[in-house]
Amino acid sequence: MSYLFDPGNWEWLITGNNARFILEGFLINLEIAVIAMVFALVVGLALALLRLSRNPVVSFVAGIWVDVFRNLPLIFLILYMALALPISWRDAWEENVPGWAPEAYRSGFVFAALVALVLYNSAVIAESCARASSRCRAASRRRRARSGSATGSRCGT
Amino acid sequence: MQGKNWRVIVAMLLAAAAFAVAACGDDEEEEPAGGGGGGQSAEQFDPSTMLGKIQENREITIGVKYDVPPFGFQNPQTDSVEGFDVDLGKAVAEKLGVEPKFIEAISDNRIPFLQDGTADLILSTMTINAERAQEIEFSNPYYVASGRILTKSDSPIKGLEDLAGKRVCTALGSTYEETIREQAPKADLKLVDSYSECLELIQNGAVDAVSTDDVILTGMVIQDDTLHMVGDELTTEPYGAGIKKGETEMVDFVNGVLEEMKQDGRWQEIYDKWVGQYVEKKQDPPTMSLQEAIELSG
Amino acid sequence: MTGFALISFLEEHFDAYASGFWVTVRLVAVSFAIAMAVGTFMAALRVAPVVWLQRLGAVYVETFRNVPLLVLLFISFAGLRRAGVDINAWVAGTASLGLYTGAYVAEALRSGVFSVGKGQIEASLSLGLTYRETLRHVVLPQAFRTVISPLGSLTIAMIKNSAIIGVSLLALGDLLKQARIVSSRTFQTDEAFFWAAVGYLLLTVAATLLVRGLERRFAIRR
Repeated sequence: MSYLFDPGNWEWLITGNNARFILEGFLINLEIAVIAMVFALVVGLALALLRLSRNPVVSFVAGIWVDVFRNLPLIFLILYMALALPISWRDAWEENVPGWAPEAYRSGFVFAALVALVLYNSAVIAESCARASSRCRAASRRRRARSGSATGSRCGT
Repeated sequence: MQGKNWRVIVAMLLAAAAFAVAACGDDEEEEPAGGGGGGQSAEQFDPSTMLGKIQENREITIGVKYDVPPFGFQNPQTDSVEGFDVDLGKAVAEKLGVEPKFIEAISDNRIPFLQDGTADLILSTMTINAERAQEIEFSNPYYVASGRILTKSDSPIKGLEDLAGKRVCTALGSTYEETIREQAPKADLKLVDSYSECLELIQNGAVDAVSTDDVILTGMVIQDDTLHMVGDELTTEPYGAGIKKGETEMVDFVNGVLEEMKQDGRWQEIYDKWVGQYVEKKQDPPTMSLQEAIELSG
Repeated sequence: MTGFALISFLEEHFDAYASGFWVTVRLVAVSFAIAMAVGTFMAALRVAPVVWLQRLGAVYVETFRNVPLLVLLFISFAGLRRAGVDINAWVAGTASLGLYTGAYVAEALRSGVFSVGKGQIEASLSLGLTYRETLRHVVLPQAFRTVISPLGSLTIAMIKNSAIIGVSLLALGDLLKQARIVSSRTFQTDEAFFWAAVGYLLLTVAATLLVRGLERRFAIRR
């Protein structure tokens, strides 16, 4: 355990560019996470609306989609997208990345990672929104039944 | 909730600090340009062909290893990739009159990269064999490595026979998966994503041996001299550049560049720079033909 | 990628997938046991009336919730080995996944305990039960029944997180690893990953059905 406390083993942190190298990598993580969060939220809300739609076919299909992507491991989706995403999409990404975007976004693989992250997280968000909304609706239905009169719908949909 | 707010602020400060540090480092992120890339002396190709399209884009995407010294590795001090494969790639790009763009190709994604066009050329210590030759095109061999076994200096393993029951590490998707399964079927094969992970595993004792090309193993010995190579040469591994199936014009072009480099001494130069200084047996430029290399793999 | 070709693909590589599937199942089973044991213990600490015990539990939960699993795997395997501990990949993998999920289990159980209501705790203490007996016979049984659903989703999360072990340098041959091996041998990525997806969905759907069945039988709805 003395391995941990020997100062000689920590020298790599201050020599050369090592610390910056690692921080730059971390920065890429954060950048990807931010964009993925934004899109996942948007797509997730859309999916939730589909899931709650009154049309049974739409609701069913959206339900299956959400269930599949919620239950697959994220790392699985990322690896698959990296290998299987059509090259034309990746090229389109590389050509259309705006000039002001950070260096990390240049590669087409970021697009694959974003697709996987959004697919997964949008499904998760959709499921929680849909469940929260249906619980709210069920509760307000119960309230309405009990009070006999129509109370205002406080659930948004 | 005082505690929670404080933590959020600290996290955001750390993120801001990371941004600032990275922003200061922008000037060091340039890929070193390959010798000017002037298009005047380069032969111009028809834009409908692959070479022509590369020239139109003004860059060629080359997949190399990022963690296999001395063939392809990313130098954390300069953020750029360097090595034998990288220098070869720069020479090809220069001859074509374009800039080289290097991306990381690990053993199990390099062929899909060629097939779907992510990479125009693969120079990542890829052994020529009959199976791969069915999926992609190979150039003529540009280097001949041989398979060896790497162990710690005090290990009782002296060769293939001693591998039975021992844990052997190699990369997912490399030819050594098959080789070890065939030649040492009782060995416990551990597959990982890249050879840098194999190095970590043998250094901390989680595996007893690593098997791959001698050049890659030499790179490991350079980093840690308690390791050494044992046993005879398992296999002969001619390295070839990978090109998408059907692009024979590109294959001829790359072969032309290789031939030139072998004749005018540039091959010897980059060999001495990256490999020669670490091995006892110096090599001459390989004279094996592609057909011989494929036949070698049976 | 016709249906028939898909099935013959599975037949050809069935051994690889079966072994990967089985490794994943064992990983998840052992990690589940560890997570439940450690999570329960830490939850008990968190609700203890002694402040420093609470802090201990809080440190565990905050640490393991905020470290990414891959980093945890690396530290527990490569890091410990470098420090001289001869830990093998299996132990490191299950311990990491178990401790990681255990933090979430502890949180879920803690909220379950709070749902039991202070009144019951006070009543049993005033009846003469010790704190430990109260936990064992009054609080925890009710807490467990309330948290069946959240624990179920944690189990499914664990099944998904087990895929990360296959990608790390622990070199365990789980389902995702086997899919990558098959795909690099045959160059048919779509088919190879399709069957791995089927495998994971089988596990998660089975877990979901199990949780729903348990909920129906045992859950307390508040």
